Amino acid sequence: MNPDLIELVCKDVVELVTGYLDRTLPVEDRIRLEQHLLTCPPCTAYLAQMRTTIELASDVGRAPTEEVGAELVALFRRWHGKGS
Amino acid sequence: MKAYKFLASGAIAPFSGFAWPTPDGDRPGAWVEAGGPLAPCERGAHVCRPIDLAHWLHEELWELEVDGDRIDAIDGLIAQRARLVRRVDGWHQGGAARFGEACARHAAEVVDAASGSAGADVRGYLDDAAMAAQSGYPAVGAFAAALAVARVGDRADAGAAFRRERAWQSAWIARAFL
Repeated sequence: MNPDLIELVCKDVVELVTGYLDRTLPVEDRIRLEQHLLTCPPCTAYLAQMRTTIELASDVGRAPTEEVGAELVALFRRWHGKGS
Repeated sequence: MKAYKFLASGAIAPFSGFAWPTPDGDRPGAWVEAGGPLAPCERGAHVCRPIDLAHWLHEELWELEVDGDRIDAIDGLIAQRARLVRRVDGWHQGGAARFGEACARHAAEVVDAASGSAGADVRGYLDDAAMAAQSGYPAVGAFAAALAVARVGDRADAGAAFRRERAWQSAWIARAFL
């Protein structure tokens, strides 16, 4: 980002939000982004949505419990049995 | 040393979600201490000097006491430990709205006083500042007001003009409430 930039616009937030959430953004950019958030309810909402999405997506990779796995296999067998 | 901090309603830090321990009557809140070396945006109590206030507007304004190591940061100060001393009730009891209106008014005066005619973008920011102030969004209004002032003069001076207007806004808060 241009260090002389006084006006961080919403488009910049979209580009910077991943780094912000990963905490890899340089301090200067992080501060400008936070100052923008204080004056921009839509970007604040966008950031909250991104956080929620990342939290939910991080659960997807988790293996199901043994019980849930057995239920899924049973459901699949029933479904497969009907279809054949 | 005295410092200040804007927080969301209930003394909640707007970005970290940290709930600051609040004062009990005349007794300040518990000390909040950084566990390790201070680092901007990472570790330490991030607070405002009076000159920084306009950059961090939020629902509640608090006076704090800070102690221990301190480092200057961009638009703020980072301290080893801090505690809330008192909430500045004038801010959320109508003061924020008055501030937003003052910012819009001041920016309009600066623009009117500047030589040459203001462009449509400047007039647009002034309109935004006035509308945001009237609609209960003082932080948005103050930001738009500073942008109007930044854009009215020499483009090369825009950054400095923006910061001068933010300094004027911070001084207004300090005069009115601190």
